[in-house]
Amino acid sequence: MEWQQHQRRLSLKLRSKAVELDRRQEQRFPESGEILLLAEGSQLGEIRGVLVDLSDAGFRAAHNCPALSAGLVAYFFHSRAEGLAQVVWTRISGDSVESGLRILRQKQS
Amino acid sequence: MTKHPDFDTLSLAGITAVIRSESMRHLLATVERVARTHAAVLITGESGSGKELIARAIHHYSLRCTKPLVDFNCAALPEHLVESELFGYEKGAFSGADAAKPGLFELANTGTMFMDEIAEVDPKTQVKLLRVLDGVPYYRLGGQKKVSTDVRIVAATNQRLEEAVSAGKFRGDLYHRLNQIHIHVPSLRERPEDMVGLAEYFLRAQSERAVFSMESMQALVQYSWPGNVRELRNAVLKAAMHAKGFEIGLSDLPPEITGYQPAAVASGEALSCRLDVLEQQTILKVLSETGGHHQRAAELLGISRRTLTRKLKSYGMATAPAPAFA
Repeated sequence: MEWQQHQRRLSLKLRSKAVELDRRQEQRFPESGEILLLAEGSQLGEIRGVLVDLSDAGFRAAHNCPALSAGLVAYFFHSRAEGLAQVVWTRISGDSVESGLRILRQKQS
Repeated sequence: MTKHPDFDTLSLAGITAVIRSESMRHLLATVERVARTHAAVLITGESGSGKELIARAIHHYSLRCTKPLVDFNCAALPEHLVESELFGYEKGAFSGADAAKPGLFELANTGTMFMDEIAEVDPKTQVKLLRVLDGVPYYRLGGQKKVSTDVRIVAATNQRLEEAVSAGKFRGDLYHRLNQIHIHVPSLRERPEDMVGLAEYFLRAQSERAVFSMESMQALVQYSWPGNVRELRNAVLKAAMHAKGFEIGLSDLPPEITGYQPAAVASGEALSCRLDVLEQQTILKVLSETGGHHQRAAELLGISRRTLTRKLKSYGMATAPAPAFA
């Protein structure tokens, strides 16, 4: 019982700390449309993939280009918007590649 | 590693390494050895020198090679978002957290996590990171359930972390934990053989028939490449776009390269590197004048043919120079 109360207190403490630490305001929405990425200053060419989820600040995309590494800046085009985004992370697992990108600027379609 | 007529190439998850220099061959041999351990690795080197490539090589040669590789740039997110990205969050942890999200450590479980620009991680996240490195379970933001992950960390920075530790900007304990194995990637100016190989590789990727003129190659060799491989790739791309024919002339290169004056005074390693470059340039020039005739070139240079062959081999040019130099 005491342990549960401790856990609850800890959870509330962590939650308030999380609010303080992470001021992300945007909701994420699952997406499934196509996306085209063109990485700046690289020889990767056109990278075609599908959106996984989307928020005002960024998006996740599944694609087949493991060389799209974190830190690269890419032009993106999908049905809702186009603009410039920076790759924050890329996860390579076998043939599946997924990247999280942060939008630097965008124009809604 | 695959053998190209002029250099060795190594493909690592879509990124190709071009290796001619002894220093890089030696470095890759070290990487192959350390990859099989579970130790954390700290990679240092100038921006654009190929730290990410080394990180991918560590994963590629490790026992985790069939498991996920997560590549994360610590500087690509504002400080306050790094923690939620790395450790994940539970539904309702903050406004906008309408669904639970696993962090990158969970996504990298059993695999490798490459954390680029590690010096940018804020002190609060450094504490949590240290615990994860020590194998201590952690909570997602707003979570009640502990999460355990088994992730090998490979971190990289272009900054002097020891100085950041002394200045109190980076935790000493985290630095020592990350620095179990230290790998330093030499800058491009310290390995001119790779510079030549990379320039040719980038140019061939643009056009199979394109070649560098003797003068443009000399300018490339003389330049200091502060932006390393990234700068070289961009310079070659621009030059290939500017060139009217298949030969990349001096005027096709960016002005910062053609107008570059190498420093007159250098010492130690830098001096020996510059002497190497000058020697290589002279040999290439003489070979160009003799139409690639080794015996005549050796006579003009005042060295034996055997010495010339040995020197060409040390530059990764065991065969006659590419048509670009003719």
